[in-house]
Amino acid sequence: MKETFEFVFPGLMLMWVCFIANGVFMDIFNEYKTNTVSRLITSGVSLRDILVSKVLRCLVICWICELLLILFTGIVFDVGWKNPLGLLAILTSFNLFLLGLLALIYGYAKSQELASGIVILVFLTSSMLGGSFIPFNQLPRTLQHIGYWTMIQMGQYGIESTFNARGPWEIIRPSLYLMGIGLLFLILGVRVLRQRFETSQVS
Amino acid sequence: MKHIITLIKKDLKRDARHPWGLIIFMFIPVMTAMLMSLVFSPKNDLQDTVRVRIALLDFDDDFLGKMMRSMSQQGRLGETLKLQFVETEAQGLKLVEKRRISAFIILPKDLTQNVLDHKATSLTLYKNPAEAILPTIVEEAINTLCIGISEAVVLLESEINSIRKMADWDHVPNPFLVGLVATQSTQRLKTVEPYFLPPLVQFNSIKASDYQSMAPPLPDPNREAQP
Repeated sequence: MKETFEFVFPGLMLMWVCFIANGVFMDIFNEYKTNTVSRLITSGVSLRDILVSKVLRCLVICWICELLLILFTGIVFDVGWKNPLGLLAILTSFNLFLLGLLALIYGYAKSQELASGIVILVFLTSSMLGGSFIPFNQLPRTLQHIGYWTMIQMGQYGIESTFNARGPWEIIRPSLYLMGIGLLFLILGVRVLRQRFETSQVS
Repeated sequence: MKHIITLIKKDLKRDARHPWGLIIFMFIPVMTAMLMSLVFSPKNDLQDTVRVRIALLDFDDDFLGKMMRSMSQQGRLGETLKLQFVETEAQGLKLVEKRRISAFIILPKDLTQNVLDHKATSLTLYKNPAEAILPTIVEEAINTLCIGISEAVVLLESEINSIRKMADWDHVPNPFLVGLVATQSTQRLKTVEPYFLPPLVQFNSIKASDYQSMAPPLPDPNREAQP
């Protein structure tokens, strides 16, 4: 059972971290609607600082969730988590990509409801193609080519690399991909969100 | 930067006061992975848990049919294979439809006689469409069995004929005759023994956790670079 658990758990963990992050990220809009953001701005905090703090808070919560899950499964299910530095690198870059994607979707979607719908669609598709539901190797070759580039598969591959002692490059490569695109998305997303909040185009 | 840290602290303190939503969310992947592991984990007692259920309709009622019946009751095959005999084709098909069996095999009339007369004949196999793996295993096994029977009949034709005749007698056959047939069969089988026994290729199963320790050490790159 342990071997199967080790095989299926990373993909499922990454998928659910996506949904946890989504729930936390939506808090920005709730605070905007309840005028908390306006009050903070009045007290001298810039909108950029508020948005950055929300993104970083989301990152910290993702880290805490992942850490707790790793500790829990390590103790209860005897999952052999190895290479803490490698894990930290791949999970941090995964979280950055995730937050960048969320910022981008929530920034460009016309309403919060539409953004939530798009987020669920993107996460579920990414999870299916990335191997959270079905073992990645069992997917048809065409879907594997697409699924390879999803954040779930990249993250899962990086975590698998720490299990299998594949070598540092197999952890660094997906981490670099996720971090590079994640930071780009994040800069773009925060910028768009800031513009929307400044022009009060939030519904 | 000071503002950002203050805001993060404020939000995290607020989150810490209501952690249950997050904790429940965190338990979902653990529960899902646990369920998936319970369902898909390879079982150590595979031999005990896998039972191939097959229905057999024997129109032949001769040597080959009886041989197949006795094969299913012997050794490891007997443990894995559960043979259910039916009287009619409809009865067998009903068992397939009710998903009680993995496959339904029909041995045609005069199967043994036709094989001994070197006439081509065929078995009928119905696979349970609701199952994916076991019917395919049965199909492969039947294919192998057909080849085996064809070859065995060519090899032991006269001995099989003798056994068939003896089986039809009303009296107990002469022990000398039984011994003669047995000796002839053994001698024939000895001619093909070098091709089958012992098998040239064998396999060993190892646990996934032992892969790492069994892997050969990586070659030292510095040693290869030396002249």
